[in-house]
Amino acid sequence: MKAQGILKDFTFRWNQEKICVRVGSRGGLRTAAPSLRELLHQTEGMMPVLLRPQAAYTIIDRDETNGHPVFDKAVQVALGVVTIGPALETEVERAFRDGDPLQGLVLDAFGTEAIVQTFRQVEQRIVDEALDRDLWPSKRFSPGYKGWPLEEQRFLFSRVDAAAIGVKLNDSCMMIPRKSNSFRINFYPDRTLTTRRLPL
Amino acid sequence: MESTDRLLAAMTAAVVEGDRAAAEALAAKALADALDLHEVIERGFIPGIQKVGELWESGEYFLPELISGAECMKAAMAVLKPAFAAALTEAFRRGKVVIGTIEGDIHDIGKNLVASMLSANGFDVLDLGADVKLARFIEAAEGMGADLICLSALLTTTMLNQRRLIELLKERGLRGRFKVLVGGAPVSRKWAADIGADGYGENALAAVKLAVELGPKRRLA
Repeated sequence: MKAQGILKDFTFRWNQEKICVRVGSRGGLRTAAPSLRELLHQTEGMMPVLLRPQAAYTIIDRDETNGHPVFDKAVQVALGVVTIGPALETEVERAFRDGDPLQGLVLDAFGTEAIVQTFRQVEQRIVDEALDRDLWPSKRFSPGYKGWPLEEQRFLFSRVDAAAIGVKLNDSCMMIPRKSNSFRINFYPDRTLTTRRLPL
Repeated sequence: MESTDRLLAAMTAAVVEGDRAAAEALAAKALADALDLHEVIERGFIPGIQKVGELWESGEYFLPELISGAECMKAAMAVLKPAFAAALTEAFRRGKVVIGTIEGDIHDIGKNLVASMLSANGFDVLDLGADVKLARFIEAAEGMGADLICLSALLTTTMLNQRRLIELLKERGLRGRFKVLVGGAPVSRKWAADIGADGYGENALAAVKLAVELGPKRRLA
């Protein structure tokens, strides 16, 4: 059974220790200057306004793919695009333009963490979908991973309604907004075909 | 004299501690007290940014502290600049740089940090942004009389355009006119050598040091 959808219901849990390390402060909050800790706190407060997480996905039969070898042995394939929208990037650009690179860096770190968390929530839903179909989901892969060239973005975008969530490809097959990600998860008929760790 | 020395030490400390307000206030005081601005820059603020770089290299400071120090430096220079542009030109400016993320690539955080650090260390920086056409780099470099062109790329697919830009400079007979520095996640010293770039900066501070080394004024920040 084919399926497609748009997801907009996401939640975030901020771990300031993690964000602090992501900013480059390898010692974490313990060694961070009070001004950085304050900036992390303030920036977290901006997130509800700056984040618009959305995902578009589709589940298709293998014979609807372009026949690339990465789809071999799959019965079905989930393809999707995830984004947090353009607002945070605009704010990052503004911060750098206004001579506040630390604010830009901290915002960018929150954005990276946000796309990671959004991606994970989408992935969990796709995995559940596969298991509901009595199929075994692969790990998630993105164009540009070994064996699946970046140019395969064009095929992926031809199948997923990315425009519905405001994501487009440029000539170099990069996604705009930048804080977006794309993926495939193969659905296999046999557990032995997947390397994903799954509950028995 | 003792008072001036204390003031200069406070300027150094303000940059090291990332205290932007103090750096600006001290720069303003230097103007109000009619201090020798050449000395203010050379013995006050520059030792601060030097110390920040040392602390970062030794692992005591991390990226946020490095950025804060650079921002203090820039803030202080902005206060001094209107009053004594000529002194700044003489004492502090190290060259002109055109920087951008290469055609096809839209990533720019690393490039932005390098631009910010270069600016804090006395370079005139023209940041062209991301996904910059090859011809635009050359046009801008010629237009501003740049000493250096800095090229960022975040993907193995787009780093190829770093090579193309160098080829384009050669085709136009301009290769000898500009030093070309490359950087970005997939870029390496070997890649820089393979494509005939003048250098590779593996991080923002390394890029600054290289720019100083290759620029017209070889005095390390």
